[in-house]
Order: sequence, then structure tokens, then C-alpha cells
Amino acid sequence: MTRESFLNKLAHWTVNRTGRLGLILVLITLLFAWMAGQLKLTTSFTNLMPAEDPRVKEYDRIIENFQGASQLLVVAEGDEAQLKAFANDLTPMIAADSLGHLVRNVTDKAPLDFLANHGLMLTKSSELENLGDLFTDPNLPAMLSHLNDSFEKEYTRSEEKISTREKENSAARMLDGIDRWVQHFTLALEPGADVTREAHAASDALTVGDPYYLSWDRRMLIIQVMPTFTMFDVEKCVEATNTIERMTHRVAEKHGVTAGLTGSIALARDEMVAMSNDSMVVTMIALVGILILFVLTFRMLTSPVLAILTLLVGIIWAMGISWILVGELNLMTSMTAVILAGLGIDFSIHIIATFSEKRAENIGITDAIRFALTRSGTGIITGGVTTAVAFLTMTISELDGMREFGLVLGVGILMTMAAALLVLPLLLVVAARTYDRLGRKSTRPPRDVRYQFLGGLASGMGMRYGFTLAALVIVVLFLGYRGAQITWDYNYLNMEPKGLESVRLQDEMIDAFDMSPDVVLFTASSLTEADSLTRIAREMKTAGMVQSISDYLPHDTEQYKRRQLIEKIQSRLNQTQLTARLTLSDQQRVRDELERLMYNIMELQDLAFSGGQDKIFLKSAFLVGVAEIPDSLLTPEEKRLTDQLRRTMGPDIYAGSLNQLLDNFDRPGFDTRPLESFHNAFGRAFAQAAQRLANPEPLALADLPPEIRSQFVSDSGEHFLVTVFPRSNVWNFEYLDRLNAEAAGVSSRATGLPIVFNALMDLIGQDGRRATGAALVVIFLLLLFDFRNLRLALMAITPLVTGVAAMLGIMELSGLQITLLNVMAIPLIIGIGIDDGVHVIHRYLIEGPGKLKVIFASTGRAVFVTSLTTMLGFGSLWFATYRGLGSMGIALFIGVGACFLMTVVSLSALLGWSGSKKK
Amino acid sequence: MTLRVAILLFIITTLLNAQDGPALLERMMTVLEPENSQAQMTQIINTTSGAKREFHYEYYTAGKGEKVLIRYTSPARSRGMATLMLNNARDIWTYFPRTKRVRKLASSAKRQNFEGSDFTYEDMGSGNTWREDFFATRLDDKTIQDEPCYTLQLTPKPETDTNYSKLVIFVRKTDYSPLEIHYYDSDDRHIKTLFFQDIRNVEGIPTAFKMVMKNRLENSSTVMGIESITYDVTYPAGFFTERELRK
Repeated sequence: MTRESFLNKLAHWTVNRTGRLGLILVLITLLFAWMAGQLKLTTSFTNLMPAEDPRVKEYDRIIENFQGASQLLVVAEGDEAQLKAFANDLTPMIAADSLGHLVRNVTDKAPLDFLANHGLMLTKSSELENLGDLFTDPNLPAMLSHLNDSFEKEYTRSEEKISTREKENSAARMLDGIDRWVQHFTLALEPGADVTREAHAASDALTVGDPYYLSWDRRMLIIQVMPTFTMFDVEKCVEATNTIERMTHRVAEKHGVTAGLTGSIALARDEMVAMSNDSMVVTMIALVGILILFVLTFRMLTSPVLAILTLLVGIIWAMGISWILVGELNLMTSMTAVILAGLGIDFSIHIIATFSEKRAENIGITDAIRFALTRSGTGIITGGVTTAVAFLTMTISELDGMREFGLVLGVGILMTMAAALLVLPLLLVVAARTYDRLGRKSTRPPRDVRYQFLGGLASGMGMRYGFTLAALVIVVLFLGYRGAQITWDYNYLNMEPKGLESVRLQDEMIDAFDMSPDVVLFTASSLTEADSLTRIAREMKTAGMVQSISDYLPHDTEQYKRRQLIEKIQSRLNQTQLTARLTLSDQQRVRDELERLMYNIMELQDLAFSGGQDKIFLKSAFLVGVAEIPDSLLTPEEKRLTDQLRRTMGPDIYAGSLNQLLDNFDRPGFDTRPLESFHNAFGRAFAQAAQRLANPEPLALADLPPEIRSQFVSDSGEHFLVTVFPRSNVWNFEYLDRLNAEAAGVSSRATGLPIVFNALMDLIGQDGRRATGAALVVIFLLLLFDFRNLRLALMAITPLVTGVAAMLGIMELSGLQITLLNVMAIPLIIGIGIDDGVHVIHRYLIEGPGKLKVIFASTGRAVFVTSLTTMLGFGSLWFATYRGLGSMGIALFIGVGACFLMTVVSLSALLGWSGSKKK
Repeated sequence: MTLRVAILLFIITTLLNAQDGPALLERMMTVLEPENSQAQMTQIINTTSGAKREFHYEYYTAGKGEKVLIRYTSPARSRGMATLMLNNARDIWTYFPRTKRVRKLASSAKRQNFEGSDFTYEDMGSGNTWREDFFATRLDDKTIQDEPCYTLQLTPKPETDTNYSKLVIFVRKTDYSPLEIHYYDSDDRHIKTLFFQDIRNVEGIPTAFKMVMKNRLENSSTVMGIESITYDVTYPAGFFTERELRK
């Protein structure tokens, strides 16, 4: 049976067996609807990758076995005391039983007891050699002297440098401890102070530090929430984020701080919400636009309803068959319905255009349907099959996601095409009969609804084909040249909606803590391997912080080294006597050592300034201020740092806590009694703390607090996790590339969201190029098979090739860039743009040479309207808050428009040229 | 007869060009490390994050680069800070005007970055040790920046304390001025490239007025520019001492 005879028969069944055909179609639709209902949605982007990819397998294994791999972070900003009160209030609320199904544990502080009991065993042997003396003598003058010695050893002995972010953070923590010690010391000297309390707090500051996760300026605090689910469980992401967010805002208001949620789970929720809202708005805009377009084009109200009904049936069939093909929709295939809606409506437009054209000429229903199906049907079938094949070529992709996308979209197009050929004619017949029965039988004067202006334009260009072709070549070459200059926007965050709280907080957190929560992960099978991986990872220039089990459980050789050093410290500590009295000479020594400390910190600050280590420069200013230089003499960089300090310290940035303490000593009539009391109380507290810290007992896995164990040790206890927090935002692809290269250098088993995402991008790029090339070849072969004529096949593909060149050129001229999402528009436009040329060439074959005016007035009208509806559909994405969708929508809008223009211009000229030869 | 002359010319030219590694290094060092120098310099550090930091300093060298004194003139916060490198950066002192103290840095500091730039102290002050501490080998000639160049590879002797596993230097044939130095780390990764640009003749010595160090690992770069320079300078005794550093 030929295509024409099939379409004739179809027209016959539609008119003569309307009821039976209708019933069969209803039953089929119900069956497909049930099947579509079985479809599940997965938002994991690891599902897009080849299942056997080692990075994906490793990532999935970590997500399954380690609790620390997915995180929700509460980020709060405010004054230090209020932030701590906020954390004390909120943490137990999140940890409450009622949230047990969502939250595994919550951490707002470092494990204080564990640190206090094993502090020196947790300190690297190289640092113990440098800092160890500090804990050997708790008497104030000696302790200060040892502290200064350790500072000066940094210049003379240290083999290490404060060059990595990790070491910079460590130096900043040490300065923070000293600053707190100085503040408590100063408070203890005030009349009526609780000296014992201040002395204990001062001792804690030097030994365990502040347990809260505070930023360098103490104005930002983080609470880590470990969920019971992974970020791929979107429903739970939404539930947990919503619930904890409500609590967070309530408690934040109570304590006068601002707070919100970030981390991969909060981002997943925000994206989901934005995309859901977008889909509603965008669909409404598209539908209203299409409705207006239909009314203006066809001057009838029923046609849009019938077209949309047909489209819905087609999508139901497509989704039903997708269940058989793939079982569940992934992130890519979840867009299928939207894309099919944009493309599937075209089939209906072609049928409605020809049917309404004949009806307007007062042709009967039977003949009008036959005309519509035979004149439009062949083009629809060729166009539908070529588009489907273009999408089906994506099945050669390496990516599972892309393969499924091609399969579902290709088969989906065939389903919407089938619905247009089977369902729409039936609906048109029923509507026309009802219309006639309602008294509109009277013959109206015939109208010509074709676009004569378009026909005239095409005919004119066809007659002047030489000029038209020359102008076309110049324009396409120019646009193609400009298109080749188009640049890439590598920042994924430019795809996100503007103003997302999770994105804002993440950026602020990266600024404040120098680390991104999108971590790179390594696993080790032994502590020795974990230690080795940790050491190499700490050399990564892209790393902000590295957390590892080896920070809490050093391997045996290192533990042995530390024990040797700790035993010496312990022995010296045991031999030291606390002196009850501070002699005048001791008091002077304390003062001199404080001054020496001030100089040491000033020098550290100067080195940090010239070395670009801002955090150390600023943190030092808390202790010693900055040199007084008039603002007019400062460079912009110095001004930036000065402004940052003024925001934190207030107007007086030229003196810090250490200057104030020294001022006390130098004040005439300085009362030395509080000093002696502080010396005694601090000595006792520090001696006790040092005894606890200098505990040489070896550490074992069982000694670790549960929150540490669950973060770094697999559920089976056999594997250990090393976590690298990148120091910048990983969604800047240039940075992401460097992070990936460095991580791969640490271990071939590196994984994590940034690693898998980068691999996905690479594969999408490779697959996209391969699929685009393959689609062009397959489409051309199909056209060759369909037309059985090389010349016609070349003509049919010309609008597509020139249209893509024009699309890229117009994008470049409009200042648009290629993004992660709009790059998908290129393979999509291959499938979409081919239809225009196919329909025109098919009509040409029916009408013959010299009929350019008729071809473009009639088929051109349908091509124009289908292009407009597709442009409206994709163009409506411009209104999406999710900017990535907008970038794809505008690219497709331009692409579809360019393909239409190229169809009219290139085919008018080529068909005009071809016709002139035949004459 | 003509053929004989041609062969003879070819042999003479080949012999003139046939320099072994050490000889090539020696010729290059006369250009790279003149006896004494005094310069006003600018250093612009372009960090990975896109931030730019600019420093100006006075730069004094003696003993073919064996002694180096650097004194900062701006920005204001660094003004007066000074660094003294002796024994080809094996001994380094820094002076802090705010505390009026001088600190001697650890010997390992030689391998650390100079003031957060992409240059290490070693890159700044130990060129003169290449003769003693490295093996020099000549590799195939290359064209660099459109100029025919000799290629010189330096590999450290076993006892040499250095950051690098090798240096590959491209030396312009016309005047033995280096055009590029490629630095390799212990994993044999090409980690940095130093470009010598805007080469002008100053008092008979080809001098690069712009040196750009590009760090391939960190995606950062440091540009050192010469504002003015003279090689016709002699220093009083004690100029390169800790005491002078405090002035």
C-alpha cells in the first residue's frame, strides 16, 4: 500500500466509519493513559551517565554507604552571641524525634570532649615539634614565651608555608584562639571580674578553641544537617528543606539573626520549586499565544481546542509507550512532554490549514478531509519520520540519559504524528457535522484563506533567483562567520533563577569560609591510604579544606611519632611547678612577652598582606589593628580590606585586643593583683587542660565520637571517606576543569557532584556533536529515499543547514552565548528545522514547477503558522525564572524563525532556478 | 671549487653553531646575570580569583645575582619592607618597618612563593647557581615567539635543593637572550612558564622589560616590569647586609 492510498483509505474510514474508529481510538488512549500513569520520575543526574562509569559507581556507593555525602546546611548571619544562642536553640529542634525520618544527625559544634581529651594526638607531629613547648609550662610568663618562640620558629624552622588555603585557615584559627585568650585576659583585669571564669575561658581558647563553626569575622555560623536520604530523593529534599526552613526562620527571628538553608539538598528543592512554577507560567503563556495565533490565522475557535485535544492524546500515547521503552523518566526525558507539545502541534496545523482552506471554499467534508490528508499527510509523514529519525540517532550516544532522550522523543514524535493523522481528522469531521447540524449549512461565499502575500513574495524571489541566491549566500556566509565567533558561558549559576536564597547563601558561605559545599570525595580501604590521600589532596590548589578520618585517627606510624613527642611534653609538664606569686620581674616579663607577641603578629600580618592572604591579614587586625595610613594613600585593594575591617571592627581599626591589653599594663598605677589572680587561675586551668590534651593513649576507631564515625567511616566500617571542599564556586566551569584535573591527579577514584557533573558535560558535548553529525547524515539519506532524487534531497535540507548557520550568527550578533542548556538546541533544531523544507518540496512535487505562488500561499501558510506556534512554545521559555530554560527557549525561537526564513528564501530561489531550467 | 667552498662554509657555520649545553648556559648567563644592577620595578599579581595586586620596589643586585636587595615603595602597607637574599637565595632576611625588626627566613623559604607571586625566592635570586647546581644539555633548536632559539635543558644535580625536576630554556640565537623558561615539578609536570618580553638593549645588555610568569596549575600569573634600570652601578661595602636592610 502506498502512502497516498493509505491516506485516501484513512480519509474514507474517518468519514464513513467515524463511530467505530472513534471507539477504537478512545480504547487505545485509555490503555496508553494507564501505561503513562505507571511512569516514574528520577531526578538523579548520575542516572544520565553510563551505569558502568567508575565515577558514577563510586559516587553511588559513597551516597549509599556514607552519611556525610549529602548535606543540608543552615547558614546564619548576625552577632556572635546571638548566633550561638540561635544554634543552641535550633539544633535540638532539628534533632528532635519528630524529624527522625528526615534527619540522621545535626552538628553545630566540633566534638569538644574528644578534642579536649586527645587534642595533641590529633596534632601533626611536625606541628607538635613546633607548638609542643606551649603545653609544657602553664605559668603565664613561660607560656607566653613559648607561644612567641613557636611564632618565630615559623620563620626559622618551618618547612611548611602558609600557602595552601588549608594552612591559611589553620593560621587563622590559631589567631582566633589567641584573640579570645587576650580578650578573656583583659576582662579578668577589670575591677570586679570573675577571674576564675575568665581564666578557664582563656585556657579553653588556647587549647580547644571555639567549638562553633564560625567564619573568620564571627558573623556567620553554619549548622550541618545530615539527612536520612540523598539529594536524589527530591520529594524528601522538598519536605526536609521546607520543614527545617520554617523552623530556621522562626528561631532566627527570635534571636535577631538572618538565616536560611543551602547545600545540595536545599538547591535541589529550590530548583524543583522554580521549575514547577515556571512550567505553569510558561505553559499558560504558550497556550494563550497559540490560541490567539489560531484565532487570527484560521478565524475559528474550535480549531485550537481540537488541535490541543489531539496533542494531548498524542502526548498520552507517547508517555504510555515511554513506559514500555524506559520505565522511568530521567532529567532529560522529563522534558519530553514540553518538547512534544511544541512540535506535535505542527502536524495538526498542517491538517487544519488544508482542511479549513477547502471548507472556506465550500468544499464538502469528505472531499475536504481527503484533500487535507493527501496534501498534508505525505509531508507530515516525511517530516515526522525525519524528525523522529533525527532524535533516534541520539541512541548512538554513550550517555544513558541522552540515549533514552533520543528514544523517547523519537518514538514520541511518531505517536503525536499518528494522533494527528488518526484523531484530528475524526474530530474535524465530527465538529464540521455538528457545525452543519447547528444551522450553518447555508453556503457562504467562498473565501481564500491562503497567504497570497507569501506566495507573491516567494514567486517574486523565484523569478529573480540569481539575485536571491547571491544575496542568500552573502547573508549566510556573514551569519555563519559570526556564528563561528560565538562564545560560551561556562557559569552554571547563570542558568539558575535569580535571587535564590540557597545560591546567595552558598556564595556568601564561600566568601566567608573559603569553601564550597559541593565536595569532591575519595574513599580509602585503610587508614594509611586515607592518610596518604589526605596529604596529597591538601596540596590541591583548588581545595579550600580537606576533611578526613586521618584528622581524627592518624595511622599507626604517625600515632607512634606523636606519642613519643606527647610523652616528652607530658613529662616536662609533670615536672613544672605552678608559681603562686608573680614577682616584679615576672610581671615585666609578661608585659614584654605580650609586646613581643604583638610584634610577631604585626609581622605575620605584613607578610600576609603582601602574600595576598586576606584572612590572616584581617584576623591579625583583631589583635593588633592595622598601620594608620590615610585613606587617600591606599590602593583600591588596600581600601577594600580596610572597608571590610571597618564593617567588622567599627571605625577604630588601628588598635586591636592586644594593644588594649598592653595599654592596661602601661597605665600608671596598674593594679597587679588581678594579674596575679589571673596568673594563678589560668595556670591551674591551663595545666589541667594541657594534661588532658597531652594524652598519649593510642586512638582506635571505637574511640571516635559517633558523629565523626558516621561522617568518615562507611556503614560496614571497612572504608574511609576523604572530603575535599573546593575553595571556589564549582559551577564556574573553568574552575571546575582545574578542580577535576587536580582531583584526578590525587586518585583515579575521585568522585562527587562536581566530578560526575564535569564528566556529564564532557559526554554531553561529545554525544551532542556525534548525534548532530549522525542526524544530518541519516536525515539526508531519508530524504534521498523519500524523494529518490539527489537534487530534491539537497534542496529539502538547504533551509536546515542555512538556518542553523543563521541561528548561531543571529545569537552572536544579539550578544547571546552558548550555555549548558541552549547547546541542546542545536541537535533539537536539526530535528525540528527539517520539516519546513520537506513540506514545501512535497507540495512542489504535487503542484509541479512554476507554482511557487500556490505552494507558498498554501503550504507556506502552514509552515509559517507551525513555525510561529513552535516559536511561541519555545519562546515562552524566555519567561522562565530558571534562566537556563530561557537561554534554550530563545535559541530555539531564533533557530525556528531562521529555518522558516531560509525555507522561504532558499527554496523560492532554488525552485525558481529549477523551474526555469525545465522551461 | 664552488662545491668545496660551500662545504667549507657549511662546516664553519656548523662548528660556530655547535655549542654544548654548558657553553650555551655560560653565554646566556652573561646576558641574564650582569655583574651589578639597579632597577625600579613593578610587580602585578593576577590571582586565580581574578583579583589584581600591584607592588612597586627598588631592586639591587651584585655579584652576578648572588646578592639581591629588594625594597618596597608601594603599596602603602608594604612601603619600607625589604628583603635581602645572599648566597643565591640560600640566606634570606626580611625587614619589617612597623616593628623595626629583621627576621631571617628558613632555608626552605627559597622554595616558597615570593610575596604571594608566581615567582619563588629561588626564581628571583638563584639563577647564578645554575652553573654549579645543574647539568646543562642542549636539545633540538626551536622557534619561539617567531625567533630561532637554542633549547637548553637544566636538570638538578643530586644534592641540589630546588623546586624543579628540570628547566627548559629557549635562548634567542641572535643575542643569547632567554625568551621562555619552562619549569617542571617532581612529577615532571610543566607547571610554570616565564616569558621574557619587550627586550631592549640597555648599556649593551639585552634586557627584558617585561617578564610574565604564568602558573599553569593555579591559572594565575605575575607580571614583572622594569620602569628603569642601569648596570653601571657600584655599591659601597656593607650595602648587602642586615644593617643596610634596616635603613
